[in-house]
Amino acid sequence: MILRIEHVTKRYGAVKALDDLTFSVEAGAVGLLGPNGAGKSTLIKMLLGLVAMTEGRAHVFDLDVRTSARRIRELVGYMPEDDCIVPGLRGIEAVAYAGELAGIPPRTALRRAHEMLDYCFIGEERYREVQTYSTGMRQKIRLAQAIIHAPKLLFLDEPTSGLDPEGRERMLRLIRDLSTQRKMSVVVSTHILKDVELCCDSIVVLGHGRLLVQDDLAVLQRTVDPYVVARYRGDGEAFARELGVSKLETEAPADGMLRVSAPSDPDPSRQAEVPSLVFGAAKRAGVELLEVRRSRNSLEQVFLEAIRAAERPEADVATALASDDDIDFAGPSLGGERLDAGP
Amino acid sequence: MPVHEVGYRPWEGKTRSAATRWTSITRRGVALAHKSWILRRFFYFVYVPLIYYAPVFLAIGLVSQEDSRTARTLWTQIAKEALGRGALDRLVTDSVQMREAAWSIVFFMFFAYTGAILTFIVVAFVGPPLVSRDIRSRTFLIYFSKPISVGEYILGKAAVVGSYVVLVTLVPAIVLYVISIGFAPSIGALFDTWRTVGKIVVAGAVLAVPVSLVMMAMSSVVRNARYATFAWIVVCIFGELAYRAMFFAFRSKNLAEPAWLSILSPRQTFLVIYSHIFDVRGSVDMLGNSHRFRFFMEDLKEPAAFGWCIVFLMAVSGVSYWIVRSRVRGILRA
Repeated sequence: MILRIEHVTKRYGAVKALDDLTFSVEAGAVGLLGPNGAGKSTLIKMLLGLVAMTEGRAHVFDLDVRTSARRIRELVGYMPEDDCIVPGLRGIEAVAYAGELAGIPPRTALRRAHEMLDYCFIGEERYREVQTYSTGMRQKIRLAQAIIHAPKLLFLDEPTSGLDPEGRERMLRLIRDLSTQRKMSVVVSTHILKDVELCCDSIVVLGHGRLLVQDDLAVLQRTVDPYVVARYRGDGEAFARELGVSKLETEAPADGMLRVSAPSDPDPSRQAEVPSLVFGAAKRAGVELLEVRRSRNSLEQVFLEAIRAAERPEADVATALASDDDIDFAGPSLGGERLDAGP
Repeated sequence: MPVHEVGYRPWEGKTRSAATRWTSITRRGVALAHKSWILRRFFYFVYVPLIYYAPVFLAIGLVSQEDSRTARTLWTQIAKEALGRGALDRLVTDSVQMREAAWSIVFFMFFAYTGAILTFIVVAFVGPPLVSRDIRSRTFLIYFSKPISVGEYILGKAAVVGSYVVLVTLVPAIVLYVISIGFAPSIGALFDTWRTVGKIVVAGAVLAVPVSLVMMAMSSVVRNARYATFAWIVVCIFGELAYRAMFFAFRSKNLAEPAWLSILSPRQTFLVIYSHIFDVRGSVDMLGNSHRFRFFMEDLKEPAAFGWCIVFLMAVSGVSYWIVRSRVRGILRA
């Protein structure tokens, strides 16, 4: 367990930045989501020991934040959202400096700075002064500064903000590489939900300083009432009839598209059979299947429902997600796991 | 991809002791400050005053080896110009006892006048951006996301100013001391004058510590370094003007100036403290109150001023440290 937070409250005067927050995080890549003022930055600063908590206990790698902040900062890297550059330093100097501050001997820090700059795709610019860097280069420099001392846990605050599409893709690839290949746990605090979908395994959603949702991304994106979406070309009525023979319910949200489900059947294996039954029905009805995909909640939907649920305390997130009023079948937000067309 | 690229590699080497990590901040700060071309040019002139002081020390060493009543060498002339005729005679008569007194007075003059001016200039160049730049660019998060405490940060930054103050005061003073020993009649001078080294080091520290902390405090309350430079100049120049004005006001009414008056002027505060470190009164008594010493003895008439000055310096240092610390912690919380 990399993070353990127990009943943590942080007050700034009358304002509660964190309100009786309790959760724990296993090793891996975690997305930390929440609207502005949700307490994400306060939480990260508190875990780094920069901000004292008002109540509760927090542990990073089983080290108490109150008593072992220095040791924690040796094990943790932090990439801040702000520019945080020292004007006058060259790129290589800025990264080596961060290494020295972490306790790496100067010569080793310089050698590692070269390696980190290459790793972060900014090696070509290492001898330029950092104030001449573009936004994307500054992001990369900050990442290099955060990982130079080989932390076991990395906090990334808005790592892709201000990046062009190519830079964003590279940054996400680096984050994914760090968490999967280099076995570094990563906590990504961001507003860009797509980034979390691409590089995280689980999410923590905060709102008003409270925990709203925490789970694996795959679990959260699974619909409460699963169904399969089939796009086809041919006789839709015959296709629906054949599906009815297989005891599947259908709904046609758009031309050439059917929503197929077995909602009344509590047997999970039966749910798993739905795609193959769709393929069989299509064959019997003589329709051409263009696409078959399992439905899922988009992360955006999970996030928005979590925030709405927080504003309506009587409704829980699962209930909110069960209602699919917001799903636009024909629109681009339709997410899902694409299935092989089969025979 | 470069052929030498090795990708990301974990590192599990031994880290440096936490007690020395602030030196990284100092080293990088000194290097950054030295990128200023104005400061580099300034350092061309920092050691120019040695052209005046070195011959004086040479002369003190050499005249004690000859009879000043008969010798009319260049060195006796230099020593007489610097110390006066009476002091020169006593120096020749009792070179061992008088040498340390003569050295103390010359070192006092070096620290109180030359060192003060050089410090005023170098601190105005080096100090203002130290904390204000970190506030503006929010570099704090880089420092404090690493295992660095607020105290170490302040120590590392203050040591940047302190290093430059040492470079323009302590280092030239040590050079002068080495020259003096080199031209003393015997190596025994080293044993007779070892206390002078201690006095030089204490004088350097007394100047460097409060000046660094005050400059840090000024730098920490502004986002633009120019305002800190301006504040520094105002404090030094207006403090001196206020002291002078009040000094002459008291004198014009035939009143003794109060003991606290010295704390109005940073230069006068250090003058009083240096006079105690180098025991200027005792040295002047030994050498005879030459008219050469009159220009600074006028400012040292009030013995109780030392207490005021030392308490004032300690208070200013403490308050400055508290300001920087509060400011940094406040920014981290924001």
